Amino acid sequence: MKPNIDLFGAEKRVGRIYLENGGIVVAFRYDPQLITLVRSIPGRRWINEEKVWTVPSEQASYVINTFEGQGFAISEEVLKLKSDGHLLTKKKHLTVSQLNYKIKSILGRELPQSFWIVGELSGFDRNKHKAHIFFELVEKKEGADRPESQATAVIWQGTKDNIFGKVKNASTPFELKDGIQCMFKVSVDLYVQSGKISLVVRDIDPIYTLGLMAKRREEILDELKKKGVIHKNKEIEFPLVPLNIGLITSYQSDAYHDFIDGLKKSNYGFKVLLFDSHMQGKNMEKDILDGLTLFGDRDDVDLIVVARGGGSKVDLSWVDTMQIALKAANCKKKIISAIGHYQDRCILDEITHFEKTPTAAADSISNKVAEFLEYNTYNIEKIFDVAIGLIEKESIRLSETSIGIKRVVNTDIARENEKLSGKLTSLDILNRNLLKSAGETLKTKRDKLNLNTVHFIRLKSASLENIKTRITIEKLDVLVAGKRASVIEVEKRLIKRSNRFLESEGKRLNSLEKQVKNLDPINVLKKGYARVTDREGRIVGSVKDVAIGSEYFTNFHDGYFISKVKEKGESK
Amino acid sequence: MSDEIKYSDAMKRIEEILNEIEGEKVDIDDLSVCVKEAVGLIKSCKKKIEETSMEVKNVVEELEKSESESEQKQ
Repeated sequence: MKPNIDLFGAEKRVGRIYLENGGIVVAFRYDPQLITLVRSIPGRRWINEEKVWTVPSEQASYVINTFEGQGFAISEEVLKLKSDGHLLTKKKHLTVSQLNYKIKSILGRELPQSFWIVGELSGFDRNKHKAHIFFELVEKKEGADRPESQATAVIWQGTKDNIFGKVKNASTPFELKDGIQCMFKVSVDLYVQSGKISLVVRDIDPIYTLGLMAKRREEILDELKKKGVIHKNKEIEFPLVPLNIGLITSYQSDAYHDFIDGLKKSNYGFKVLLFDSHMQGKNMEKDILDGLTLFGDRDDVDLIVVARGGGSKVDLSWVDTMQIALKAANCKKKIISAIGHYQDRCILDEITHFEKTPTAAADSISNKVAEFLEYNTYNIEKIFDVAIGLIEKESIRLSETSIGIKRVVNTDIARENEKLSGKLTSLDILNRNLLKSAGETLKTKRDKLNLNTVHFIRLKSASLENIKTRITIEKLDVLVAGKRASVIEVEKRLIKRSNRFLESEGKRLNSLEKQVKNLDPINVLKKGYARVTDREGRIVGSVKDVAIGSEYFTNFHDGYFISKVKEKGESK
Repeated sequence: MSDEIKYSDAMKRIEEILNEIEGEKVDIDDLSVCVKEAVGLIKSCKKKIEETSMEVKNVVEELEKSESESEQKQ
């Protein structure tokens, strides 16, 4: 029997099989595939000195079956051994292992040493923490649940770090997980013992997966655009005073602390409702959805913040889903996305208010509150300035008015004086003293009036000055946010008191005028009053000035009489 | 959100007062009342914002309730 020609058409013999010292010698140049084959022959030995394999002659049939078609030159003697009846059976057959080895060698020849293959990961998650990761690479028709085809694959411990490292350090890091499409460099191996074919993963090309993810993101964004909701959340106005915050993050994570510390720094009374959520892995999507649903409907939430770890590189494709995109876009509350990552942005960033880090999110919220306070403080300052301006104006008006009052009063009194002087000349000499004293009284009244007017002006001005001071204090108070609640009350009372004073002063002026008129002595004496004078003509105004035994004049409007005091007493 | 309405009301009222005073529509006797009102408003806003200490509350325990509610809605 002639050796077959090599399957690939290579005419060249890859080795020789011949008989020597009663044993079969298998000689070939180094080839791992052939070594695998020769090792499957029972009783084979490696003769290191001669760099050949020897096989007992009983295995002639086995040897020929194994190496037939591999391009070996097989000697006639060996072929004869087979035909000489060293065969256990007449029929040509293979053992299972021979079959597996054969398949293995065919695979080795038919397929390149390694090649790129794309497929979806399946059964990866449950094994990814094991030393060697066994999983399935599946091919599905779009939208189908069941795979059209699948192959078992393995990532050996030795290549694991390299594969995971590449994924982690990709421009946009992602995570190897069930459901994602990957492009792996693999070689195909068949395990003789189990007869199973497996893809041994040698390398990965993350760009393929990233490309698909980016494409999916684009598709989702396009869909949102079509629905007209892509900017819906972004366009929600920032709440005026966002003090109540719904925070979706992982409790006690860096993001949590960064955000909370950021808010604390502001010293405002924020109320944070925390939704403790996974911020990586397969629970991330569900948690964020639940958080958005919960906070979206709560009245005690002004604003929602989704925050995650201080810039660590992890997979965000978990949240790049249509469900999250729609939920966020249609959320009633403004959402701040502070997912903290590097280059590419995820869908949440695109459709909500984006902040680079949780700290930045906290700052922008605090600033919003500060803005409100500042704006109102600015308004208050303006109110104070205008108010003080008005008070100053009023002060000037008041002092002008009071000068007027003073002038009027003085004129009135001067007129009365003149009238009195006129009377003086025409009246009886006896009445001279009376008139003189009336003049004196008038003078006193005038002085008193002047004094009162001055006093009034001073008081009113002081009151205005007081208001001004109070308002200034109030202004400082607001600016430094101290507590002086009663100040305004006091100031209000001061104004009221001043007004009352002004009124009563007016009344007094009127009554003084009347009094001045009543002072005309004729009018007084005609009413039945009498005037008591001593012998020197001095008016006796008090019983205290009366001495028992002395004589006094009692003057009427038409005459007088002299009386001597016998007794005196005080009126009750 | 009820607080929110008060804040915007406060802001509106403060602006109103400012306009009244600037337009000299306010009698001098009412001036301090207006100023007092404005001060009161901003003080109460400030108080609410600045004098309340920060609170953090974990609401995950409320999730189940809200889930059943949202299911009912759907």
